[in-house]
Amino acid sequence: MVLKQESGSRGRGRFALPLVSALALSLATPAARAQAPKPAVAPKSAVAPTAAAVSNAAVAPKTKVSGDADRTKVSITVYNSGFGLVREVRELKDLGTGRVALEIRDVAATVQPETVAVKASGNGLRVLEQNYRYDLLTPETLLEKYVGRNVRAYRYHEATGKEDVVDAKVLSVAGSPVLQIGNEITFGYPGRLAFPELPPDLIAKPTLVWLVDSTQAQQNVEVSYLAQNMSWKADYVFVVNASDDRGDLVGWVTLQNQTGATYRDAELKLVAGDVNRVQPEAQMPMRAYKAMPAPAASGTAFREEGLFEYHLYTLDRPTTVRDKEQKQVTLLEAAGIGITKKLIFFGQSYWFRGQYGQVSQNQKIGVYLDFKNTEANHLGLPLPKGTVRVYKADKSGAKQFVGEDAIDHTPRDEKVRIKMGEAFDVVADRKQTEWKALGNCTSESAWEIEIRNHKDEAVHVEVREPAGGDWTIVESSLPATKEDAQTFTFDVPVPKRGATKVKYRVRVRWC
Amino acid sequence: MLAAGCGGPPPRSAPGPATAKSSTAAGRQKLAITIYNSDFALVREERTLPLAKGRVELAYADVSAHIQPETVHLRALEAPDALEVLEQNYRYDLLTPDKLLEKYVGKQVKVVRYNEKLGIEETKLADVLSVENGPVLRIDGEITSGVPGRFVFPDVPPNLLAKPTLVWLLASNVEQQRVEVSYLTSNLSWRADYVVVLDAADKKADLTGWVTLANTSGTSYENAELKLVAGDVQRIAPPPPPEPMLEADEAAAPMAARPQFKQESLFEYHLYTLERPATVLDRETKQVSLLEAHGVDVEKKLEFRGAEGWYRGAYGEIAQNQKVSVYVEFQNSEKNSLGMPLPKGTLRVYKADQSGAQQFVGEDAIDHTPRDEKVEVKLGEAFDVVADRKQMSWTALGDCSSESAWEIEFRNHKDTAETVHDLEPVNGDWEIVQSSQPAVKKDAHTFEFVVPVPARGATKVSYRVRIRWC
Repeated sequence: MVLKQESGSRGRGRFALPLVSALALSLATPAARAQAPKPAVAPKSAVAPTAAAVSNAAVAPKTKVSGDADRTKVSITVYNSGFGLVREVRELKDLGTGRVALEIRDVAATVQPETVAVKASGNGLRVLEQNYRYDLLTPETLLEKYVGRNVRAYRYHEATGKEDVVDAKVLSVAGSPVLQIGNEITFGYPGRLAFPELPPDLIAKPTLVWLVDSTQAQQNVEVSYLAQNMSWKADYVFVVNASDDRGDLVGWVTLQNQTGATYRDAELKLVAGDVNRVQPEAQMPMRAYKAMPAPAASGTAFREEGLFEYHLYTLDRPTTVRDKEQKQVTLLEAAGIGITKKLIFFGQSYWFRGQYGQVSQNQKIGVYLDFKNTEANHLGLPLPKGTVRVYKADKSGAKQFVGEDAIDHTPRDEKVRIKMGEAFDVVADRKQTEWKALGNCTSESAWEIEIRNHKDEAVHVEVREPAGGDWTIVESSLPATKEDAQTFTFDVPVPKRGATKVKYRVRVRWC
Repeated sequence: MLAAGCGGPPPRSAPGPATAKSSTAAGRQKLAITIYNSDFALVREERTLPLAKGRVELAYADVSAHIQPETVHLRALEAPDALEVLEQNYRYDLLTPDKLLEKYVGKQVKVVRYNEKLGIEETKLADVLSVENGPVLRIDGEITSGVPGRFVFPDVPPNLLAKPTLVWLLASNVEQQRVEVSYLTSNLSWRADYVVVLDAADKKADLTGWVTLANTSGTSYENAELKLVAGDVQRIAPPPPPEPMLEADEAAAPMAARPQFKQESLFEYHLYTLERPATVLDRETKQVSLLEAHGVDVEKKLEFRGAEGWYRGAYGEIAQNQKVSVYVEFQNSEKNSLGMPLPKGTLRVYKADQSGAQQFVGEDAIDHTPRDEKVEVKLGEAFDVVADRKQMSWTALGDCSSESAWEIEFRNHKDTAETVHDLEPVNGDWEIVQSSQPAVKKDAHTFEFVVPVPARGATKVSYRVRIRWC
């Protein structure tokens, strides 16, 4: 209602800016506003003839407002990295013809105004300007607009129980308001100020306004824009069997909406992939649909397809995404995935150069789960970035949580490794048993790693030693495998309730 | 399992609007909580849900205030094929005064003000124009702000909630169904506290393990099946550090009770199950005994440690009356009446004084310790055993080599003889040229002297070390 009343002042040129510079338009300075002609009265009619010059139009536009009641279709495409593309169709039943200032309400509060695009279904609409207005109506801006003008000051009189009214002139609002009441200048006046009318151009919420030429009184318009504070991620539930060699995977989509708008019965699409965004400006994601065979996922609600270099998931029914809501929908399901549990003991590269005694006692050994994302392994699906939570049944059959890890976007046929935690019953001591200087930048050190297994079953531990410099293994009790220039590994079998020692000598040259 | 029932013919595309239903703690039939070391827990409960045929929008109340909504899972127990989870929503658009007013922008509200003179409330109609930085209103054709009084609204706008709420959109074929719901929550934690009571000779000890669990999750769990997991379980976003817990057992050892937990292996961790249901109230710290062992052989050890840098440089007397540390160690083996996994926690040691009253003699933190490992805890510094360390000579033997002579005097002021383990860390390529006591090489950079010190006497250790550092 506020906006309708100040309709006559729209399109006076100050807000008629090209859309790319909408953000560069800071609040118009008070000086600039003072120059603008003020309407004598607040016009109540939708059509307000004013004498203000519009840059490229001779006729003052009519004002029309479109709210979410006009929305006939909405589709949202949510990206991994905290933004979404909203596409909606609005049926403008009462657009009229000629030049129209069309105000679009009920868009996301986090809209990126420079990404708004509008398209009419037919040829009945031509967009001249697109404006994003955010000169908001606040008690302060209201008062600022009344500098040099008369207001009324109300003060509650406790003895009479009535409000006394005096006329006051606002002299200044820098700091606190300085008022002239009668012939006296004062400030800190108790009570409230009342203003005769709303200044033009002040609005309650940031608003999108288009200046359009319409040739059809009634038409459908498609509006699309990017909005921030909308995101999704994948959450996986992985249940491993008693022998830790098979697992069932269920993927969930977790969708967050904090855009300030609710999307009713929306068509929901999700894009998985790292889409480049320019900061802080936004760029429309490219649309290059390429059909791909659907993966062998069992009955889930999402349909998957390739989109450019990413993956697009479409929900097969409309859904309502409320503001401040976190929504979860099943993404994929796969059973009987072969997994490998691995125990890995990591070293540090600088150890080989320096001189240490016992580096660590009862050092922790990491537990990892590896699986292949292949069709042969009952999977072979793109796995969007997310969190994998692993559960295992205890002896009573209740599923217990045994660890979680983050995975990145994982295409099919890739290997996934997740860290579960640290083993309780398998520990290791690492000792430097000897160190010899062999010149200024060469040394030889002897090491002993003792791995102790306190479980009732035998285990294999991978000892992974990153070595810096130019290194040679002079001797070792178990065969060392060179993994790359700076890493060697030992595969150490440790019997149940037993211990295995790995001894080796390394010569390192670092210059 | 934890996911929606797979397969089956769920009435996914049932026509018509969803039926609204709700479930509270009153419908709860079974509750189990599994608490982890690192301040989080898995809550599992069974409830009978009121449902309807077709689509049901079910609000699920009485869950932890610190729930991680993305970890919630619903599983039908009676007829898995008759229930499908279409969506799971966590709504947190809360009803607040600001939110309420914001939803009324562009609408009319009432402003009610108490008139003190007349003793009545006066009501005015006001149009809300904006709520940025305080409401701007139109009253009687005038624009104003800072109006005293309170706002009265005709209605609650839809979608504003009193509490964050978990809402499922379900497709159901039955009128009601028993389900299992599980989720992770933070602000539930446990740790182990051990009480060790030493005998007079410091040779034998009794050990009691206690579980201390703390609940600040905002919800009470009544008659819950309680399980604890010991082990370092990987979490990707580390939960905030737990609040310090009440040190209720600091002063006196609690009375030992029979251990009440059953232990089993779970994945690479250990799981403890309490044999009876327990009630864990919100803002409560609960202690339950975990394990008990009698007649554990312990060894008290006096240890004196040097510092690595000393052997390279030239010094005089480095320290006088240096402290000698006291350690207690024991083997966590079956032979030693133990041999069980000891979860991470605090070990407190007590000893009886001459009147028989138990006194606290020190505490230390222990990490997760599997069976057959050695536990070594530091209790403090010895009062009556001290040491002086002196460098007697220092000779440079070239650019990167030197030789130094040392004398360490240990003095024992007690009425009993003691043995001090002197551990000397040394850097570089080193060699002991001569020593008054045999030196034992422990590893590449440590050697040890085992020094017997007679009652009310002193023992000197002198040695020469040659080192090369390049």
